[in-house]
Amino acid sequence: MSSSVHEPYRDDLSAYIDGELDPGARGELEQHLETCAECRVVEKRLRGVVAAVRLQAVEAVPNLTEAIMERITEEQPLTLKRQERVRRFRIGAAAAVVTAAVLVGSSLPWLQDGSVASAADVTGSVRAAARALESYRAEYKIVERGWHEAVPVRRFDVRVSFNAPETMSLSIEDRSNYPSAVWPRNDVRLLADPNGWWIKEPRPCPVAALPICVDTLEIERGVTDRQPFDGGSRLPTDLILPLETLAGSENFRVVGERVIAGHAAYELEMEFRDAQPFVAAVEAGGSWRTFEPTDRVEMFIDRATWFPLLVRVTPAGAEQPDLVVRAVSLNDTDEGEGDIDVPATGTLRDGGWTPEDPESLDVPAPGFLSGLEPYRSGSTSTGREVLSYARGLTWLKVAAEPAGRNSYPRTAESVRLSNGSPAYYLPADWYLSRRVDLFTSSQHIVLESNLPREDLIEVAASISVAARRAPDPPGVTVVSVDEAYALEFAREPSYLPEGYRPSSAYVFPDGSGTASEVIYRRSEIEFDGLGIRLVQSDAVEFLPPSSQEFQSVVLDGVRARWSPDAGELQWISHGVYRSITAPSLDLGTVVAIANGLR
Amino acid sequence: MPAGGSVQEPDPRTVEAARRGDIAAFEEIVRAFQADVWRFVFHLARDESLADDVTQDAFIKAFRNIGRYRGDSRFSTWLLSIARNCAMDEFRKSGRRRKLEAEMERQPRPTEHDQTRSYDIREALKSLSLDVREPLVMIDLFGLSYRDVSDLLGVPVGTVKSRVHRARLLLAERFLSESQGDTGEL
Repeated sequence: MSSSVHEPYRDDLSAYIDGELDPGARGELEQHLETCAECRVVEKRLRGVVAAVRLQAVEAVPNLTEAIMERITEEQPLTLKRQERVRRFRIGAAAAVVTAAVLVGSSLPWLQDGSVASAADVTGSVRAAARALESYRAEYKIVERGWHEAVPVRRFDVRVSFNAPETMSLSIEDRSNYPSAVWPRNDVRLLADPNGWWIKEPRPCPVAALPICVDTLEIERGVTDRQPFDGGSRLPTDLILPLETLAGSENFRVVGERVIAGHAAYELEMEFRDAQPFVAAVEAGGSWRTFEPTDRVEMFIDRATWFPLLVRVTPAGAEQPDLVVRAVSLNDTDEGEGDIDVPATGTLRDGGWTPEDPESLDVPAPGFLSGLEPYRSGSTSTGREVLSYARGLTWLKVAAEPAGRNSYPRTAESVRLSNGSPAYYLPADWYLSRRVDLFTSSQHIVLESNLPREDLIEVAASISVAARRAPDPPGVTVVSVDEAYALEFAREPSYLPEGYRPSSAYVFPDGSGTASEVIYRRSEIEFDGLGIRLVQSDAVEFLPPSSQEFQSVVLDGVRARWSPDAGELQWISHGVYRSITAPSLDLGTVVAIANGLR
Repeated sequence: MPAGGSVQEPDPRTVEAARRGDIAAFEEIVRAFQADVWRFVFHLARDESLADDVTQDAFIKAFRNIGRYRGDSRFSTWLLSIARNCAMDEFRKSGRRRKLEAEMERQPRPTEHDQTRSYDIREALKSLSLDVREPLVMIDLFGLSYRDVSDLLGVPVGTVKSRVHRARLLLAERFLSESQGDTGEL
């Protein structure tokens, strides 16, 4: 048979092998194959080729999932605009209903389509969302760089579930590659319910000493009979909604809008010191790299739900973020995990809480509750009686104890409530939330809450007790700010970073002279517990000797010393000692304050 | 996917969730398909770092466009067509296609030593020009149908058929003829 006779059949052979011939052509070809040995040889060869191609060694394929997901999250997917509009309308409408109930008259970002919201809008909306949140479930991924030189990158999977107001489960699973198995894995498990709190984390070991100091044992500790919203067993809820991080609108800037993972988001920028409630929530246990107070933080927050979608921390001068926290799934519609079994293993602390009926307690209840509802009540082993209130993530605690046991802290701001009573206010810090102290002839009443300052003060004013002025803190005389600066040698700052205002002022005798002290704080949160303290004295001739390490700075022709550990700048100029203490500020800012003293 | 298997289709619910902007669902897709996409691009380009770049670009493009995926074609075909477009863009950008094609046109005959059983099928594949290698890779390594390949390449099914056949004949000539001791006319 000539080649031209075979040709049509041979051309069909590949399609025949691939099962791509229609039945008619297949039948014809099969008939031909039965009679044509040459074509059978070709068929055999072609089958051999197919087998060889299919059986060739599989290439080593890299896993690019992380790299792809990082780029997807960080890119601006412009073509999602359509979805964004739909989403904004749908969720915006629902959120507006929720918000209208609690924030009447507030200007809401989604009502200002096309314009970027103000920081105050964002803060107001996050607070509203915190009241509305009943349950939540999410997964995050963390990429951290620079923890240890032998471990350039670490990766973590985070799962969190929450049922308002006090039930939470958080797990941090370490997916990093370590040089060897002796390195401790930074796996963390935190579980809490209204009665108990428990954490399992690696035993602390200074990062610089790793892996030599390795003690692979994990530690477990917990609290039983837990007081409501106990500061010592705090829940890392800023991971869910950055309520404390964004508590003060002066703590961040709204720099734009972007679509992150298909969600319309606001891009917020802040310094690391102001993002600490969020970072502390993410790093609820275990060992993590440290950052400087002024390192840059970008937070992308969903403008419909106000959940954080992506957070990046970039050290000053670096281009690449060293900490990236990225939400991979968020859900506030499911029930959370339901009941959580909180273990009582490891080192346990008795929270000393005894639940009691509110009527049996001698605690004056506020008349105004800012929309919160009664929650747990009881007494503590230290003799405090407590009423608590909650809604979503927002809570309030009113505790009363017999008078005469506590004075108020020196950093507290003296405020006059709308009912005329004197009270003492403290912004939130690392351990405690915002606080108002009231003193009566028989009781010391402490209100603690994550409500904003204004609301908390209004709640305090609705407590009908005859509050009076507390004795001055020991060793000082409380004065007005004007009085503190009326001293001849005292100078007033002409520059302060945004949000700082005078909170308290004192004068006190200092050796042969007098000293004045003025404390400046922001209204909602001072994570370091202080803010800015300015002390001036005409009685100090030499800077006191100290074992601290100092950096030398020239201020207005005079040598000053800066203690990075204490965040304190001290100098003597024209016979007057001045010191500025600001643990959360960098030297540049403190020098700017010093140069602005007039 | 093992060599020669076909690409698995994702769960339609996962695709639907990803279409609605669920990033976790999309990540599931990335996890399931990134190896296939990488291998596909690698077989087109024969360059590992280019395969890394193109794979990433392809998924980002897929993420941006997943809202437009209507389920008319198989998801894997849709994804591979994006990967192919990205690869072609990359070739064009870097002038690699010209270089690549020039290289292909040379189609060096196997040497004496190569014409043995040990002659690497990869080398044989590599020696094919892109226009015949592409449909062969799609069909034999990724299990695509002629119709899928025709859609993907934008050529008639008949062209796919003849290109695949030509590719196999060339491979048989280079890879098998000597090793099987068969010198017959193909």
